[in-house]
Formats: sequence, structure tokens, C-alpha cells
Amino acid sequence: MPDEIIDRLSRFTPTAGGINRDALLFEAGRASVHPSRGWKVLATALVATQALSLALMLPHFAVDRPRGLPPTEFVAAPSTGHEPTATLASPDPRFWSAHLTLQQLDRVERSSDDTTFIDSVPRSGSISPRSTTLMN
Amino acid sequence: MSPEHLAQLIDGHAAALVLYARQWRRDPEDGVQEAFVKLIQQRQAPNDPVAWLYRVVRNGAIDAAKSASRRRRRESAVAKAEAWFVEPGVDGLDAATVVAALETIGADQREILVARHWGGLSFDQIATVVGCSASTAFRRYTASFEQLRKQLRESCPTKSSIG
Repeated sequence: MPDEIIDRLSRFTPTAGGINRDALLFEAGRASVHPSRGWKVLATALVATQALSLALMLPHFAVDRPRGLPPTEFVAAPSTGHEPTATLASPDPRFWSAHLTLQQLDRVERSSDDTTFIDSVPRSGSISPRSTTLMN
Repeated sequence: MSPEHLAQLIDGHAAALVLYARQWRRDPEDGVQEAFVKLIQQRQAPNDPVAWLYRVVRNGAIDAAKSASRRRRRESAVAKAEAWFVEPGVDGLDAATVVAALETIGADQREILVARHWGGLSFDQIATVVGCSASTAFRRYTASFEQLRKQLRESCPTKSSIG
């Protein structure tokens, strides 16, 4: 009776064991995604260019900093044709200080002196006859 | 390959694939899961996904069996036998008896029997999976089935043979 044996064998269902359908579908879904590596390449290129720029700029800072700033070179301004003369050049500031001191001293002396050089009221007979003659 | 198609393949063939992989390895689920993941990773779906899955499971199971043979021998004494079938018995035919009868058949014949009987593969598909001609696959199947039938008759006679 071969058909009977086949029939009975066919009714045996193989076990799926530890196969989890949902977990397998999830794993398959994850595996089906082909990640784009474009952003990784772009990020790597940016990092490389930044490092290269830093490497090129670093020697300038590293050499100049210990010795301080380079001396400033004064470059004459281009001539405009209306340059001030030498007489108008500002003298030494000490000169102006001394001048101011002298002026102040002078004011102090004048204020303390009682001498009046011009009378407020003209004196009688102060005009000499010579002067009268001259007026005539 | 669409998720629906993949789900159909899992529903229809995962269990048979596990039974097929069990012919070589003690952890057949891992091989079957790897095969499905490999299938979804294919840029172009194979023409015959079922035969492709059986072939991948077969190759993976054989490789795993080779690398794990030493460990398996060491663990076989304490390993708990896993059930091959859902039903413990059908009409007086014990599942353990079927498993024992299957294990008496040579591996090259047994894999064809499992692929044909429980996997539902055609002989052309089996030929593709195993790497032989369809006629050779048919001959091996016939021989293996006769041997299984003989084993089962001896261990569990049918009702008609008893009557």
C-alpha cells in the first residue's frame, strides 16, 4: 500500500524550528536597504580639505608668533600736491607745554600787580601847552 | 522582490527548508534565515527563488556541517533532539519512527526525498539544486522512497497489511 504511506507521510508538517516570520521579515527589510555612501565621501573630502588648509596655514603662525609682530614699515603716503610746508609742522609738544606755562604765569603776575597803565579818569591840566599848540 | 513575495516564500517554504537543512546541521534555522536575507539582498531576483533558496541553504548547511563537525560530535551526547515534525504521530505512524527511518537513508538520497516530498520541488528544480540531471534525481528519489517504505513497513505496518 504505497499510497497510504505517502499519504501519511504527507500529513507530517515540518517544524519551522526557531524561525520567527516577523523577525525574518524585519531582518530581510534591513538587509534590503543599500545605504548611500555619498554623504560619507563628502564628509571625508571636507575633513581632508580642512586639514590641508590648516596644514598650509599653520607654518605662518608657528614661525612668526614667537618673535612677535614684524616691525611696521611706514610707507609715505602718495603725494597729493598740497603738502603742508615745514613751518606748519607741529613743533615739539614740550614747546607748547612751556608756552602754556609762561602764559599762565603772566596772567598771575598781571592779576597781582596794582599798577594801572591807563587811568580811568583823565587828570585836569594834564594836557600840556605843547600839546595844545599841536592841536591847533 | 516585494515584501509580499518574500512573505509568501517564508510562509510556504521556510519550514520545509528547515527540514531540508536539518539533514546536515543541528542549527538549521540560522542557515534558512541567512538564505532569505541573501535572497532579499540580490539586486536581481533569481528566476526560480525556491530552487535558489534550496541551493543556498544546501551549500550553507554543508559548509557549516564541515566546520562544526568536531563540535557537533562533542555536543551530540548532551544535545536535546529537536522535533522534525509538528505532529507527534499520524494514524499510528510515530514521528520519531519516521525520523529514524529517514536517518537510515543516505544523505544524497534523503535530501532529494525531503526536497520532493515536503519541499514540493520538481525533479528539474531538484536537479538544479543538487547539481545532477533530473533523471538521476528521479532515480535517487525512487530508491530512497522504497527504502523509507521498507523501513516503515518493518517498524509500523499499515492497517491494510495487518488486515
